[in-house]
Amino acid sequence: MDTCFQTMILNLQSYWAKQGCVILQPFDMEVGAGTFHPATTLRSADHVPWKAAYVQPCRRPTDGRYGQNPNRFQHYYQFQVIIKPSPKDAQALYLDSLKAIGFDLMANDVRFVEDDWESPTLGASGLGWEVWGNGSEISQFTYFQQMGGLKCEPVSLELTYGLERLALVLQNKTSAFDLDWNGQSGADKMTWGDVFYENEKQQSAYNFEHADVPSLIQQFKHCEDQCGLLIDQQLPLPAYEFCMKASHAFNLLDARGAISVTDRAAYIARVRALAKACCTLWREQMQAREAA
Amino acid sequence: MSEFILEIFSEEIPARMQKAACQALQDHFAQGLADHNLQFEHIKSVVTPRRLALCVQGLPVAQADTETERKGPAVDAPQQAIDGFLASVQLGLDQLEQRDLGKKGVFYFAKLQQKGLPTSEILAQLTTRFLQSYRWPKSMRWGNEEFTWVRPMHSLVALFAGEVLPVPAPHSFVSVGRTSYGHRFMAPEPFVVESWDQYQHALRDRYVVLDPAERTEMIADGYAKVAAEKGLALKESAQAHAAQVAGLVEWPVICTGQFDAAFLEIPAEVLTTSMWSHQFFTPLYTAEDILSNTFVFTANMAPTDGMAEIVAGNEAVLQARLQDAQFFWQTDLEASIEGWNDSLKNQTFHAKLGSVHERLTRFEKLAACIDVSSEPLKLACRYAKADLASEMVGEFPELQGVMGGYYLQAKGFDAAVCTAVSQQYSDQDQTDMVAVQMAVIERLETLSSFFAVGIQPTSSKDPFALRRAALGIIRLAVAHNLKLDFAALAKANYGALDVADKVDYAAYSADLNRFMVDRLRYFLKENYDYDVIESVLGSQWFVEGMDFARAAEACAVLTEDLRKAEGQALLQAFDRINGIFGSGVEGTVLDEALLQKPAEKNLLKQMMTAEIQVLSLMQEGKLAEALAALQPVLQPLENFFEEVLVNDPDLAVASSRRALLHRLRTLMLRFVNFSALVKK
Repeated sequence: MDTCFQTMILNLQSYWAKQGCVILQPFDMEVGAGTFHPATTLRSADHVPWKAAYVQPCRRPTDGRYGQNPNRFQHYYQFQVIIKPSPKDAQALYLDSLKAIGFDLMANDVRFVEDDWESPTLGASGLGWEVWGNGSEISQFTYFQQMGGLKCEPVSLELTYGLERLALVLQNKTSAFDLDWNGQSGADKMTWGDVFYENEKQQSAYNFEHADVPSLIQQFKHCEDQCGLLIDQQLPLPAYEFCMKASHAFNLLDARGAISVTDRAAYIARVRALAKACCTLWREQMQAREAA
Repeated sequence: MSEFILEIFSEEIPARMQKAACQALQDHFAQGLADHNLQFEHIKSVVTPRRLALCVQGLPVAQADTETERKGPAVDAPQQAIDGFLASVQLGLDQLEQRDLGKKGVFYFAKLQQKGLPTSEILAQLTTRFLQSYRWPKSMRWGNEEFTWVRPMHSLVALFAGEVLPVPAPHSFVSVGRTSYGHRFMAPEPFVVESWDQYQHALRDRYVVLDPAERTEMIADGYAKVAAEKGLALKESAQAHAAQVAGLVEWPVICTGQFDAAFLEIPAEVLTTSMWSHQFFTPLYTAEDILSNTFVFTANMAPTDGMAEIVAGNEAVLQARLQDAQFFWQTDLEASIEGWNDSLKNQTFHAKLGSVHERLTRFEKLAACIDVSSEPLKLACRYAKADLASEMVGEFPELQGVMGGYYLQAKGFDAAVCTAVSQQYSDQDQTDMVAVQMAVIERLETLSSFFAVGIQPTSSKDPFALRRAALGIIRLAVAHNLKLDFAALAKANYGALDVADKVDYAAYSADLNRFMVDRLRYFLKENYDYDVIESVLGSQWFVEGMDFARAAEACAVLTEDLRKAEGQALLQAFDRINGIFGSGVEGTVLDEALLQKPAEKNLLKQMMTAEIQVLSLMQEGKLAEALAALQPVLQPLENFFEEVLVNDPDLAVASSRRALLHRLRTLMLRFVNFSALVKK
C-alpha cells in the first residue's frame, strides 16, 4: 500500500469523508495547533452537532531546530478530526482510520496512554490519551470537557494525528527529512526534507533571531483591542481571528525569549480572556439561531 | 450457594488509577453485602487497562427471612389507638398477642414476618450505587449525557447465579448483559460469560491476563530473565516499574532493546529519565552497577511474525529522544556558568519574591550564618541554580540540581561543591556535611521568604510545598544532628529579603515558628507519644532555641526512660511537688539557715549537686545523662516528704521549704515540661 506522505493525507481525508465529516481546507492563518481552527474551537463550544476533518499546518516557533534535529520542527502538519457529540465507537473509528492508511494493527503495538489535555490559552481541557505506535506518540485522542471556559455540551471528540510522526512509523524511517512525500522515484522523487528543510532553517533564524520584539508586542496589543471591539459588535468570527493572531504573536515573543515567567502567565490569561469572550458569544448566537 | 460476576468494560483506564479503583470495588461490595446481612465465602476484584471486574462466591440466593416484634397500645387503650396500630401492622385483632407487663398493664404485641430480599436485587442496587458514587481522581462525560466515569464505559456484565441482573445502563452507550471481549487487537470478538472460572479462562485464551498481580509477576520475571541472559542486572526500582507497566497492558510481552552506546557519554540520569519517565523502559546495569545500553520494556501485542518491528520502533523513539538530549548536553558543556547565573536575573522565582538570582544572594547570607569559613558551601550557594538556565533542565525539569552537579564538575569545581548542588533537592540522601547544609539553606530560604511576604500554606493548598520544605529542614537537622539556630537563620533571611511588601517581622517570626513547631510535632508523632512530644516542645530550651535535633533526641531519651521504674518515679516526684504549688503560691525566699531538719538539709545538698550536673550535661547535649543526674534527688525527696511538714506554722520556714521545692521543680523543668506527661 502506498504510504507516502501525501497519499496518507488523502487516505485520511477520504476515510473521514466516508464517516460523514465535512472535509475542510487548512485555515489561512498561523496557529500553534489544529485545535485553534475555528472549526474546532468555536464549533465545540456550541450545542449543534458537527463533524469535520482537515489538515492544519502548525507553527511552534520554540520547537525550531534550524533543520538540525530529525524529529523537531517549528512547522508541521496536523490532521484534525472533530465529531460532536462524541460517538459511541470513537476508538474503533480511530483505529480503522489507521488501517485505512496502511497501518497494520496486528504487527504493531498500539496503545492508549493517559494524557489529559489542557490548553490554558483557550481555556480548554479534555480527557483522553496519547496514542502510541510502538512507543511513538502518533495521535492525541481527546474528549473535550471544556472550551473557552464553557462546559462542552455535548462533548466533542477531537483526534489529532501528528502526520510526520505517523509517517515515520508508517514508513519505518528515523528522520522526518527522509520521509517519502510523493511516492515517486528518480527525478520526481520528493522527500519531506526537499520540501521543508530550507523552510526550517530560515524560519528558525527568524523565530529565534530576527522576529522584531517591539512590533510583536504592539501587534499583540492591537489584536487584543480589535478582538474586544469586534466582540462589542457581536462578530465572534472575525473577533476570534484576532484572538488567533494575538496567540501567535505571543508564541513568537516566547521564542525570542522576550517573555519572563511571570509575564508569560499574564499573556496566556489575556489570550484566554479573548477566547472565552469569542466562544461565549458564538454559543449565544448559535442558540439564538436554533431558537429562531 | 451462588456466584456474582461483575465486569465494567471501558476505554483505557489510566494506569495510576487502577489499583485504588480495584480495591474500592471490592470494599464497596464486601461492606454493602455485610450491611444487608448477606454472607459470602470469597470475594476478589481485578483490573486491567480496559476492565474492572469482581467475583463474589458462596452467596445465598436471598436474605434470610426475619421475624420482628412490635409493641402496640394497652388492651384498654381507646379503640382509635388500637385500630391505628392494626392498620400500621396490617393484621387483625385476633392475630395479636396480649402480654402482661406487670405494673404497666397488658399490651398488644404484633409479630411481623419479614421476607428476605432476593440477593439479585441487592446486588443490582449495589452495582448501581458503585457506578454512581465511585470517585475517580478525574472523571469525564461523553456523548450527550451527564453520567461521568474515568473514560467512556462500553458494557457491563452483571450476573448472579447465571442470570443477568436488572442493572439499568448508566449511559445510553452502555449495554448490560453477559457479553465480554478479549484483547483489543488479538481477540476483539464478543464472547458469553457463564461463570468466573470460565470467564478467566476465556480471557486467557483471548490474550488477557486478568489479575494485575499476575501481570506484574510476569513482567518482573521476564525482565529478570532477560537481565540474567545478558549478564546484566536490574535496579530495585524494576519491581515498581513492573507494577506500573502492568497497568498498561492486558497481555504482557517482554521485549529487549538497545540504544547506540555512544549515548552513554551523557549522564546516566538523563538516559534513565528519557527511558522510564517518557517511555516506560527499564534500564539494565552491568555487574559494576554502570548503566548499559540495553533496556527492557513490555509490549501489549504478540504479532505472529515476531517482535522485531515493535522493538525497532521503540528503539527509534528512544534514539530520537537521546539525540535531543545529547545535543543539549553538548550545548550546555560549552556554555558559561557565569552566563547562566546572569540570566537567572531574568527568571522570576515568584512575583512577590523577585528573580532566581536574588535567591542566590540570600543563600550566601544564610551560608555565612551556618558556616562562614566554608568555601565549598559558599560556592555551592552561588551556583546552586545555574542549571535552571541550561538547555537540559529546560527539557528535563526533574533533573535540576543533578545536572548542575555535572556541569560544575565539568568546569572543575571541587567535588564537595558539585555534590552539594547535585543533592540540594534530595530528601535524605545527602552524603556529606556541605550537601546537608546546602539542602537546609535551599529549604529554609524558600520557607522563610514565602512567609515573609505573607504566603503560607492553608489546610487545602500548599502550592509552593512549604510543608515539605519545613519537614525537610527538620529531617536533615535530626538525621545529621545539626545544631541549627533556626531563629537566627530565619531572621537573616528576612533581613536579606529586599522586596516591597514584607509582613511585619514579629508576625512573620511568630507565624513561622508556630508552623515549624507544628511540622516538628507531625514529624515526631511517627515515633513518639503525644505527651512526650508536648513535654519536649513545651520546655524552655526548645521554645528559646528551636533545636530540632535536640527535641527529637529528648523525645527518644524520655520515651526510653519512662519505660523504666526510674522514669516513672521521676514523674511521680514531679507530680507531688507540683501538687504543692497547685494553689499558685510560690516560695519566695530560700533562707538556708531556716532549713534545719536533716531531711531538708540533705535534699538541699543533693539538689544543688544535681543542679550543677544537670545544667552542665544539658549544655554538653548529654540528655540521657542529664536525666539520670536527677535520680539521686528522688530518695532525699521521699524522705523530705515523710519527715518534714512543708506548711510550717512559722511562715518564714514554710516559705523557705516551698522555695526549696520550687527550685527543684524549676530544675526538672529545665529538662522538659514534666507537667505535660501522662503517668502510666
